[in-house]
Amino acid sequence: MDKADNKIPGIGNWILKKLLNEDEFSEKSGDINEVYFQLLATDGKINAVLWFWREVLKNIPMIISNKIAASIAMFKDYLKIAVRNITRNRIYSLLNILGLSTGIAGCILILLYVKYEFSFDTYHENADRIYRVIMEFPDYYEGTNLWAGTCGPLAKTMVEEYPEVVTAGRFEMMDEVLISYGSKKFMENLVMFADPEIFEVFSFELLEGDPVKVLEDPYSIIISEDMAEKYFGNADPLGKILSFKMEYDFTVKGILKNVPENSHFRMDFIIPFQTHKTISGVPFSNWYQSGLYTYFLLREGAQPDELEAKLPALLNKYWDGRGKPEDKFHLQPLKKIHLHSNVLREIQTNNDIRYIWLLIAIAVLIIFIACFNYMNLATARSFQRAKEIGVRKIVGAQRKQLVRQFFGESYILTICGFVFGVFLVYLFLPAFNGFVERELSINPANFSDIYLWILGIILLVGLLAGSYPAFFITSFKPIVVLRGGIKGSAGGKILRNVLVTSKFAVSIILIICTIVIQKQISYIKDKDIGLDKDRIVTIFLHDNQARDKIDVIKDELTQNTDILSVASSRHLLFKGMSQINADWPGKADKDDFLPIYINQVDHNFIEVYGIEISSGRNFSKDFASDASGAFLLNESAVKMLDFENPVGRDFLVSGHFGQGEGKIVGIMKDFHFQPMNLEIEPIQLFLDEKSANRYLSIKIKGENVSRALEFIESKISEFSPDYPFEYTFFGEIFDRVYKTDQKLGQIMSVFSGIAIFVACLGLLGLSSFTAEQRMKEIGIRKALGASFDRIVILLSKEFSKWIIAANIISIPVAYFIMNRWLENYAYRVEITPVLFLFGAFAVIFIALITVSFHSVRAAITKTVNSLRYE
Amino acid sequence: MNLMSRSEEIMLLTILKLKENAYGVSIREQIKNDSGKEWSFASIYQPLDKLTRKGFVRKLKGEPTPERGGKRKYYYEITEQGKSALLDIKKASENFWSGIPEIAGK
Repeated sequence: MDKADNKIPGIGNWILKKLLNEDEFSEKSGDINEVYFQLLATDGKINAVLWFWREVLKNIPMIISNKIAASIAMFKDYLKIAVRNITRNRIYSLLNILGLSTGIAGCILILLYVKYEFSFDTYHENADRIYRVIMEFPDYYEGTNLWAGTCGPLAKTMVEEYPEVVTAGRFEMMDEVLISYGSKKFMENLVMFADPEIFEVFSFELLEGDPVKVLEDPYSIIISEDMAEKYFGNADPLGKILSFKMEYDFTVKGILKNVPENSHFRMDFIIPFQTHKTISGVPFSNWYQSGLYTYFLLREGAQPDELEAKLPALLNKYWDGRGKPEDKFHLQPLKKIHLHSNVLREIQTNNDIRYIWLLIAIAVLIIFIACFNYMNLATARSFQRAKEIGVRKIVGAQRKQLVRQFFGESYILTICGFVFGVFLVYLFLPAFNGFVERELSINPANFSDIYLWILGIILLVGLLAGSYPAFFITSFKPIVVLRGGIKGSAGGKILRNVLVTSKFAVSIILIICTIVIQKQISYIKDKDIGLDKDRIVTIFLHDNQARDKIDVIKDELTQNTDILSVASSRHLLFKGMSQINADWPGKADKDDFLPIYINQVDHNFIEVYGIEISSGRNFSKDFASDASGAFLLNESAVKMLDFENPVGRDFLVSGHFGQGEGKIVGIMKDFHFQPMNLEIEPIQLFLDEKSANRYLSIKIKGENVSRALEFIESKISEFSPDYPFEYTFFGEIFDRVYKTDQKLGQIMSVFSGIAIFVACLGLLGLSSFTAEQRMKEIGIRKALGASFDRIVILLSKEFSKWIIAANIISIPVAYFIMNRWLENYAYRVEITPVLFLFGAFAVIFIALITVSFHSVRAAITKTVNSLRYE
Repeated sequence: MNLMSRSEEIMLLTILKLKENAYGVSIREQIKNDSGKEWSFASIYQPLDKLTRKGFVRKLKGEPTPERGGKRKYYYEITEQGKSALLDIKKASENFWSGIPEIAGK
């Protein structure tokens, strides 16, 4: 028989070879080969081949189960060894896990928040096709103003004129409405007047009531679940009567499922829009007044841009000649409103996408730092274990095994880090929720993709970090390693330097950014806004009877010793003033839209708020002519109107917000009455005691605040007994406007702190490694007489190189980022070089401390011991 | 006492019988002679593996031959542990079989 027949079929051979290891293959395929050979002779080829295949197939299950058992055994072994290694280097492992888990926790928290913010309004079934109409008015300084309010007829007209608009509805929100049921009286802020079409556009769920019919009756009201419980407890609210402002009675016709928190507007009560006309007396029928919100549903397949392009034609057709042809409509997609929309007259303060990007950037940075750290420490550590590896190789460990071992350790650490990180998230979530004022949960069902991402990253890091020692170190010849020849190859050193430098750079950037943001925020807080904002108590008078007697109230309040002076006005600064068209006798083009805010005030207003008059005079009782009407304009107004000698000119108030005429008696120095990222806009104060009867601004001495408040409460309740007493400090109103900014600034600081903390941990580990490596060197130097501080300097020298490099990179980057961010603020802090120095020094300082710690240890170690270190 | 499985017992006995010539193919032959049944290699390797892990037999490397396509043989040799385990079984067997004259024929 020729040689070919001696061998078992090639494929079978190949299968066995793949499944078995060398020895097993030899034995088993050899045995089979032998019998096959015999069978060839006795039974012939066909039978032999048949037998052969039967044997192979029978062997396969056993082989596979053996392999599995072997793998498990091997895995358990590695696990044991890995755990032993980890516990042997407890500090290092702890530092690593701590750093990694802190980074993970910070990252997860940020991502939870970001994801939540992106989820706003997405629960509506047709969310992708819902749009809001906003208006654009040309601004007379630069650019334009965007305004979320639209006019009454818009919604219906859009449905009539454009087939792309399936349905459209309008609504308006009212706050500070007194709702009562029997003895239960509450001031409610989420009262909505809405067209029934709202239910067609949005997916608000009615627990009771038919969306088509529920708002038919003009005096019907829908209340939310929470309100049902608040006013009626467990009783059925349907059919019951709620009193609105003590004037109107509404019957509960429907119950609304609580509007989810992640909505850009929410309401507790819904009243038919037609009733709004009755109550307010405003017909909302002209195209000029724009205070309502209009939302509509776009037909499937229709393009919003095309529709937007058609809208100016609408203006031309219906606009009764008032307003300017440059005025435009814009469409905002629903899902973008919460993060991208910051126009005038938003329903609620929205978030800002820029901050979200910032936070995401921080999250990414934190994870990078944590991972860099980990890899750094692992690589550094692996050098130390070079000897161990050398010995093991000599004793016969295969490279494959060592590689697997290192990976095993790497993964165990990273997975521990991940688990602990999740635990930290769980621990800190309540605090974080309070901080960002959201109700985030770590329920994996909702946020599984975040966890998967992070898990993926962690595994990747484990892979990367483990691969360096695994592949690189184990490749060295044992003898080289044992002789201590591995102090770090060039390639390894470069990698390490890059990692450390980038870590420093990132930390510096974060420190600088945090400082700048904090400065900006406190700058805004402390900036002289041109007003007194402290010690002013503001009260809203609901009761018309009280309003009629406002003079009496003011007199009686002023008599109290705790109270300095009292002013009254129609509106409060920072809160809901309206713009009207500036007007004066002889105005050339009456339709020339010059927007100017208006507030009707009394004589004391300027004094209470400490507003400076830059020319002319304040309102004064000494001038009888004031009583029939007088104006104070601010400097911005004068600029806009381009009046050369404003003082003494006649001026007018006309239109929906009132009638009046008089002279301009003085000019006010510009003061802030709006969020400070906007320029100061024109405002006029009109002396009109009769209209200035809604708000009281009470300036108190400030010595005994509670006593003053008590007195105020008793007085107000005397005149307005039906309404619960509510007050706000003017400073609070001001602060509230900046709350979002402040909160986000705080978030930035906290997370920057985390990032820096993690970076420091890494630094600690790294410096320990460096110190240990140079123990011998230090020992020798000490023996030769080097002093302690020389040693510290020596150790620090290496770090300083990194830090300088890091600074060079980070300073321009930080400057660029902060500049861009500050561009959004009309009033901003200066970025001075001092800031950068501070950032650099902070990092140097921290680095020095960690290095010194180890230097001290190294220097104190007895020379003998360190020389013995071999 | 830990009793091994029947196949393991058969293995050990066969290995003892074959003395220095106990390897996969010869073991299979011997079993065929003694029991009349042809075992597949899979069912031989399985108990052999177990016995090796338990320490009752040890594996020794042998020479490659052309009939094996140039691959080595691996011989099996019983250890002292294996011998005493076998004797344990024998003793247990005798105990089990005693006192039942109908079948045991004694």
